Amino acid sequence: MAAPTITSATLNKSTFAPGETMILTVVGADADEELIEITLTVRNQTSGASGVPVVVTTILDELQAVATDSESRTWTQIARTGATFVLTGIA
Amino acid sequence: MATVTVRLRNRASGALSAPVSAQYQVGINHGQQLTRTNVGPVGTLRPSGPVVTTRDGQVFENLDITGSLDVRHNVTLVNCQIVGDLDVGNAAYTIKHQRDLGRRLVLRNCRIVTRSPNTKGLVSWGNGQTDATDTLFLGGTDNTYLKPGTAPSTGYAHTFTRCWFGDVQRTPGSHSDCVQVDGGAGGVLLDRCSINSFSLATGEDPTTAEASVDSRASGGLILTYPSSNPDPIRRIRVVNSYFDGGNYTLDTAPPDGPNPTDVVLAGNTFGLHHTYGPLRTGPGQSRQDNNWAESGVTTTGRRVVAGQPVD
Repeated sequence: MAAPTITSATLNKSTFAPGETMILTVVGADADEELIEITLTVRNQTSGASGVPVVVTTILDELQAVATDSESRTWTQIARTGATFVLTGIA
Repeated sequence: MATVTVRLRNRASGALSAPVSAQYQVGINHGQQLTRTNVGPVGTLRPSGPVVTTRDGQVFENLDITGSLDVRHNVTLVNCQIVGDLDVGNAAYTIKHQRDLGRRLVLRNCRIVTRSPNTKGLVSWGNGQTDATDTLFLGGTDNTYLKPGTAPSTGYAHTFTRCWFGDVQRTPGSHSDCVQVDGGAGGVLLDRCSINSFSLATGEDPTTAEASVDSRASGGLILTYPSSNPDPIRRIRVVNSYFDGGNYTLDTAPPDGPNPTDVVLAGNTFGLHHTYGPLRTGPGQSRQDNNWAESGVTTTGRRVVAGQPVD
């Protein structure tokens, strides 16, 4: 079992107005995380006819980004694209 | 400076990455953003005559009190208005802390309107304590007049948070201030308040009129001493507030008594209007990050830039 790693964590700004949305972008990975692909085909047993295969992907051992804040603000992961995780908090 | 610390966590195994941190700052929410209408009571209020408190723990909610509040117990007012009577005399304070009872008054989202230039709004000369938040203080020769007596075990005798002060009234020769501390060591804290030291024209009623910036009052917050009993002033903290108007807008250097100690003035912003200057302090008092709120030419002819120190 490998530990996840973070290569960068970047805020969109260094100073925020009270009430402003803060965006934290995190880039990282985990060797244990696996992207798998499932291919599904529907076949009529009587006629033998098959539909077009449908492919879906999912992640095994999925990663999530969790954050704590020195001033008790709440940070929530709102998106992920590949190795990039996006969290937001309110200033 | 705040810090957010993030980790990646494998949902299945629970394995965590090493933490990575990023630092950020959140700007100060100065009192400049307060107005006469974005603090104070909302909704329908029930009419009431003058109130004399009768027991500790009383809570008055959604009242429109005509006359005055006589604080004889530890009480709370929530979403209330007190409107003083017209043209009353000097002792007819709109809120009066009885001198040595040491009671605590809590104000939440209230509006205190004094309608006589002969008297004052909130007066506490002794051991009374006040905790006011999101409250307006309008009218009177002084919006508030305090001589904080015994300090509470923690905090300050009088605390004002996100409160708006202004529209003071004058009589010939009067000294009209938003907040006057007349001696006393119990401490006063103003945090994120808006202090607008401008006066109404003679005869104007603070329930209907608003002061012009062309009519400066005497002081925004001023420390003074009574000639008969100059108890040294201690523990004045004014932070993140907005000041404008007056002679010296924020004046913590009384010429008539000992230099006030444990005075902290930090993170305040100042408008362009004053007679002598925005800020006057005594020796050893702490001044940090007190800046002009706007760019322009002050009423004393000084060209200033927003964000620059007022010094």
